[in-house]
Amino acid sequence: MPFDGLARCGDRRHRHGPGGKVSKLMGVLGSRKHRHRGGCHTGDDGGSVPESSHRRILMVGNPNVGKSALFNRLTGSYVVVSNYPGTTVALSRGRMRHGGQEFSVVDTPGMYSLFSITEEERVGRRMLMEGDHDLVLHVVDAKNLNRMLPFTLQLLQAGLPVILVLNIMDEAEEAGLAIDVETLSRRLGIPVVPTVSISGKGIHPLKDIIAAGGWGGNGFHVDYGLTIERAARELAPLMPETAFTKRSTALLALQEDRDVLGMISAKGSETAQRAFSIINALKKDLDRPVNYYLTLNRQRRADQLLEGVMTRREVTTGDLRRTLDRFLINPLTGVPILALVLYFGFYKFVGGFGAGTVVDFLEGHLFEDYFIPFVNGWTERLIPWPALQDLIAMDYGVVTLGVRYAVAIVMPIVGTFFLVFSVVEDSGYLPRLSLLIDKLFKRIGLSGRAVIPMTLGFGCGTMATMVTRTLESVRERIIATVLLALAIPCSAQLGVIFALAAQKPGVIVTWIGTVFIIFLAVGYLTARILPGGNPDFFIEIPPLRPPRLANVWIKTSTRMRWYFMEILPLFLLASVLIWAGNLTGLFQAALWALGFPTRAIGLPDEAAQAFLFGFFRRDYGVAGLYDIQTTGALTGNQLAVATITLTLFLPCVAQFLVMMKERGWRVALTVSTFVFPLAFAVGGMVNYLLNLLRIEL
Amino acid sequence: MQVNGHSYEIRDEVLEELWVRLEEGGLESVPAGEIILEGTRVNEGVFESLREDGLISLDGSDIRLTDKGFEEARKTIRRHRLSERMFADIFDVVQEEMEDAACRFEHMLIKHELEEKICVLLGHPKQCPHGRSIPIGECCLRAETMVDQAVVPMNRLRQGESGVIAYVHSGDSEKLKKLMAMGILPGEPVALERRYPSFVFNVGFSRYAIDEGMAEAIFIRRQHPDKR
Repeated sequence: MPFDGLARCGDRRHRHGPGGKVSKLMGVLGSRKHRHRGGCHTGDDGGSVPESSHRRILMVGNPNVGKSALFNRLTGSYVVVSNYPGTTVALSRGRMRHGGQEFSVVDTPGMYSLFSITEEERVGRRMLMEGDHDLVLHVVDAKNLNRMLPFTLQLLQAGLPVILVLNIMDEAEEAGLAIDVETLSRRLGIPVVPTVSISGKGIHPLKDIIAAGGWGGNGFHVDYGLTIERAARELAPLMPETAFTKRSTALLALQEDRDVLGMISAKGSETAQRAFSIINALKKDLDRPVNYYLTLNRQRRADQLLEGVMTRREVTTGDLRRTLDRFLINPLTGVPILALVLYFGFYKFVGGFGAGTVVDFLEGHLFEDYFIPFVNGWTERLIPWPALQDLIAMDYGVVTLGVRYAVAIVMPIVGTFFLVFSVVEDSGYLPRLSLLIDKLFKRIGLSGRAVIPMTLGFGCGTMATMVTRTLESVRERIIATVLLALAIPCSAQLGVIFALAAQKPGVIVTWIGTVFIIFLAVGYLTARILPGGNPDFFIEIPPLRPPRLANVWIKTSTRMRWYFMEILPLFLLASVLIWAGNLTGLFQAALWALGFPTRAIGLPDEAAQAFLFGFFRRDYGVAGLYDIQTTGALTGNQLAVATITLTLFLPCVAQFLVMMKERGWRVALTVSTFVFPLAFAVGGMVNYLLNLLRIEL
Repeated sequence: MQVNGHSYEIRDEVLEELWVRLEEGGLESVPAGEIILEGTRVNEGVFESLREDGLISLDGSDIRLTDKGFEEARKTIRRHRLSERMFADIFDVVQEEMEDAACRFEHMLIKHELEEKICVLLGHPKQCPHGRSIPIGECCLRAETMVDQAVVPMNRLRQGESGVIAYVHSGDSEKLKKLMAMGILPGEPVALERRYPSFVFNVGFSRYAIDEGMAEAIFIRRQHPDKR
């Protein structure tokens, strides 16, 4: 999963995680402290283990080390609880059975070290601190063992019982690396197990070792030098009770870890004052962040441990792969390649196959000919009241409109999009795209890392808006949200627009040009207006590899599942709203009001309906235009103006709701009130210019 | 006043302290009582000997550096910080040992030639490991006109060049944390693959892309300084 690194994220407010607040954590710490130590089972429980004595395994490790795949191998299922797409984000829970014993397994979002930088990393860290586990599996990417071993040392230092899993051994071997597992195990004093989670190699031995039990922390010691050690010694007695050793917690406090500082403050002002004075004194003694010295010392210790353990012989990577790689990150060749990917992957496959062939079959054939008449017929027969009939069936019914749009139109388009996206993602292309595009994105206040939400936006703006939370700063998140709401058309919309303007290349060019200019202009201005500086750009570039079928399948199906769980209800809600609007006359009033700006930008009255529907689902709107166009009511110019206005127009209800949830109602409302006049103003301007220049598209 | 061998070191320490207070602290003068070395006050005799040599002037108990003393202090500070840089970069020793070793070593640099050689070896560093600036020496001025320095920030490396990370320095501690988390640490060999549109390089077995702002924070000791 080359992209987990970008998108590691946990939902901070709800659903996932052991509790969003430090206070909550502290509430449970007292009762759970050091449970894993006393509660270490010996592994001879026999066959039937009662529910309460399931031993609990917690998986931790950097992003992008194949943790999820390992989780799936261990638990033998694709149990993905409260996962959201684009990322392995939250906690996945599953069960593992081996040798007549049962274990519960929890997978945490990626983290780089015990000292967590991002909100996302803290989810897993809190779980570790709570100590609600009997064993920690530290999963590392074998070829980057030297970089990840310091985290193992931290875990050991914290007194946790750890098994080190060297995953992705195949890639390490490909890179010419040999690792002396036994020596490493002896030096660390814990089991070390090589695995290849994708193929399943090494999984059985790993399960054997887990089932054998007898794990315990060994309090591995890394010395950090006199000054820091002295401060840590003084601080340790003031530390709160957690599953970590006090020294380890003290070291976190010295790095001014927010959670730990919070816990100290809660211990009363006297303790807190003493602790803070120790921390500040150390800060004065050192001229760089404490974190710097700790990291350096740990790395040095890790390098010592790996001396003679890790050896490398020179291997030449495949010429083809290397050449392709070079082409991808060189703008001269990379940009044309991007154009090819967009053209074949998205225009041809999603637009042509998904939005064309599959939709024609489902919507044009299955639904129109069989399903809709069937539902309409039965509704009329069973329900006598016309108002209720309209709610379920007929033109705007929940089943005939909501379900039809969701299943027959949107699913094929979004599904094919997700499929292509997963292939692209698994190949390792996205990080390369992000480094290519970083300079451009910096102009609009984003970093190259924002390619994920931005490209995902071409699939589903709602999902993309959710994924913006993986961006580092609030500023970036807001900019991305604005651009997604305004200038990134979703796949459903794209599909219909391409179909609409298929015969008129002039319209497509005008549409793409205008929307792209607006994208850059609004991004630039938003970045100017919002306070704060540009984000840093840094990304790990995984090796290019042919996409693996299993990965692509998991990614696509997870996203599809999410889509149905989260979006389908909103579709249904939208059709209920349309029904209610129709019934109460609110709809007509809104149509009447929308008629003015619509006419002002040179469009026929009917287009107002398309705009209104566009709010419920952007693609409804375009589909509405499609109806108008088939009657030949729109000229080329009008079509260009209409598609531009509709693309820029308010996001759909679902996206609006997610905007509110993610960014708060103030941002959501501000964005909406800004987008509305802008869409019409730009549409009007394009109309004016086309007329002025006497261009007929 | 007798000046025995031992108090040369104390004299240097006092000069350094005065430099830090007056030049870097922006003060006019310092009361003698505030000059404290390793927790103890400095013997009056030391000030007296400095005054006799024309390095400081005493106004009551307030000390000022004379022009000569100012120049002398500058050199002493330079030697001290260069020594620290050397122990940190070349010998890779930890904080306290570095400070201790530097304190002893600086006095051996009094020979001008040796100081210059070390400065060249280190690539005319601008900052000590603590981030304080190292006063410029003649050799640094000469080197400014030369294109190639031994230690440069990554954004000054040429495409395809390789080297070893000498140190990581940034005013922005968030940047520093990110780099540390990525495993960008002193001593790691790096090879710069591309400069544009982003900086692409290999560290260990990983490959990263970063922007110019982050590249500025990574200081690389060039492996094959191109002597053109």
